[in-house]
Amino acid sequence: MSGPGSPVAAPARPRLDELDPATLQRARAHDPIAMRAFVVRYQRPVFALLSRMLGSGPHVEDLAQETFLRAFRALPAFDPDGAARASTWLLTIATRLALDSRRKKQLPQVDLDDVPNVASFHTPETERARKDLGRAIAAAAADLSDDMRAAFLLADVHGFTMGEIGAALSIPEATAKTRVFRARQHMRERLAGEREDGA
Amino acid sequence: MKPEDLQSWEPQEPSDGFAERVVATARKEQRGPARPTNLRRALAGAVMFTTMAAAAVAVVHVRSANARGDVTADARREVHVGSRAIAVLEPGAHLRWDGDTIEQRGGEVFWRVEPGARFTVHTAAADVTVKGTCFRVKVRGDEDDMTRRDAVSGLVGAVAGMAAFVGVYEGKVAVSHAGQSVDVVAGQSAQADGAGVHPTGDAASAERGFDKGAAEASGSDPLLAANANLADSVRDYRRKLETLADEKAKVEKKLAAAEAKLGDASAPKSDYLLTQDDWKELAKEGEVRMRVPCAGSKGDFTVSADNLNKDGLAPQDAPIVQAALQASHARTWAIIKPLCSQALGNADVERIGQQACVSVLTQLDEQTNNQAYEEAVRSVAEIEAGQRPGPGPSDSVMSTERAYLALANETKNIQADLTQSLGPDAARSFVYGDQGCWWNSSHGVGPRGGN
Repeated sequence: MSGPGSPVAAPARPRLDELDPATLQRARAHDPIAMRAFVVRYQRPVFALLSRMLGSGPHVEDLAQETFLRAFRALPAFDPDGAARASTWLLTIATRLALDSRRKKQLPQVDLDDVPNVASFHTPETERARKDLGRAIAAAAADLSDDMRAAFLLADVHGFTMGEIGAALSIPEATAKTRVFRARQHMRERLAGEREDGA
Repeated sequence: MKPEDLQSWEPQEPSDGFAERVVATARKEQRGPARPTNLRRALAGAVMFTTMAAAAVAVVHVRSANARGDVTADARREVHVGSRAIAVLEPGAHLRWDGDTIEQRGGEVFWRVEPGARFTVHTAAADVTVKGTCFRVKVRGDEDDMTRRDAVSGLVGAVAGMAAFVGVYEGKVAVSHAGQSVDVVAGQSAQADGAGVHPTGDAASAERGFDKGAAEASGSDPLLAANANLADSVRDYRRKLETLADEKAKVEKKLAAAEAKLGDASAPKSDYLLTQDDWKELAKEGEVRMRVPCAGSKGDFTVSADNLNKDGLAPQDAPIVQAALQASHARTWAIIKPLCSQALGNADVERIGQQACVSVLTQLDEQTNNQAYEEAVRSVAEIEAGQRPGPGPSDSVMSTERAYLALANETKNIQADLTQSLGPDAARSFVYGDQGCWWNSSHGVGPRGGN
């Protein structure tokens, strides 16, 4: 656990390489190979965002598919050479879909700590500790409101700037900062000592 | 909680075949049955001119939202053309239309056309008539040549020096000039030029050939040369000669400054100039760094004289540098292309290129077995650090390991190539400098055992 006032988390990994503008241009022109490269490149962050927002289940794949279909419809308006990154643009679509679905109550309430089984090379002890920590994080995040959880995920998992979070959630940048700050504070409090105890 | 702890919160992974299902659904939607409220998007195409036209200006005027217009774009913009088409103009594109008569006079335009009667885009080189769905056209030559062709009647053949490339994504289009017409189906291409209209086979590879030709056209086309105004040329050469002495003095001054800079042992070190000790440090952290050339806007690895000058190289070094960059790309693509093609079901991956392929391989390997992928990254760093041997040709390793190894080695290979011709200082200055098109990439997975 970090000390009081320290950041709870920076992006877990550095921002990944974006798909190159030439391939995006070809996807815009409906080149099937480029479209496939687009989906393959971005499917994991889209699934990660949706499943952490909504819990795992078939609804995640449905919404992920809808995210990409909307993206393909809107690609002609996206500037591959512009300032906006494709990943930010796509995850913004996914975030809005997730929040809309939740608001319309189209999705069942699913436990966020329903962690999918993933093959692992860790020892049984470290694997158990890791899963326990993952469940604790998921349970802590489940207590956040949907908007706060979205802000937290976009900031600390997907590396969005506060300005990008504001644009994604249609809120002022200052409001985005407040939400991320409060979400981090909540996570710190809920997870105090978790790593020391569990690891 | 530490930043990396968030990775313990495992996300749901995409199921097998997700990408294929999404693309199939999207393509079905793109060409599927009409929606009750919307006309089907039956055709989407891109029409490009590569021109020597002057810088783009703002919109001249649009007399009507649909019926007629004359637009030159200074930034990407969308306009409705007639009642059936939407055109997305790239900067510099020039479009003029009046009813069903549409002239694309320059630049690049992406077209979406709804089904209906025959739809024709007139260019100075050829007419492109829609019979099906999705196509791309590139035309090279001077925009002014459009005025030398009766675009409305379509009776006159291609203007000398003009050439049009047509690549078809879906359905079928007809390319015609001077009474000749060729139907081009999905995946295929054709070219119209002074020799007539002729099929050019696979669209992706033929398009690259056309682009290369476009880059060379202005300086080498004998017809254009014959049409050049001799008096203007003589005057131009005289002016150039008069300024040559000044330019030479400036170049010598810059060269001296660059040489002084190169001789400075305290020159800043690139993040990608890695000794074996650097690689050992990266191996501890589970990180690989790669820097390889990219094709740049012209698609041919050229580096301008100005940019070479900034790295202390002379203009006459340009062919040497270009050849080294092309050879580098050929080496890495020979390894990555078959891996990528196999990963995408024997697809023609020339269309998406090396950078997208590496991204695809990374994502697929991460998705298939993330921990094995992380081991592959650490393994690459350890191999580069000399801590373990590289895999043999028949060893079973992840695609990313072979791809990353190829890329990670390449800066050293280019440096060695250029050192032979340019010397070690100039080679190092260019390979790790800021000029030219370079793809820098780093992948970090953390140390083995975590934390």
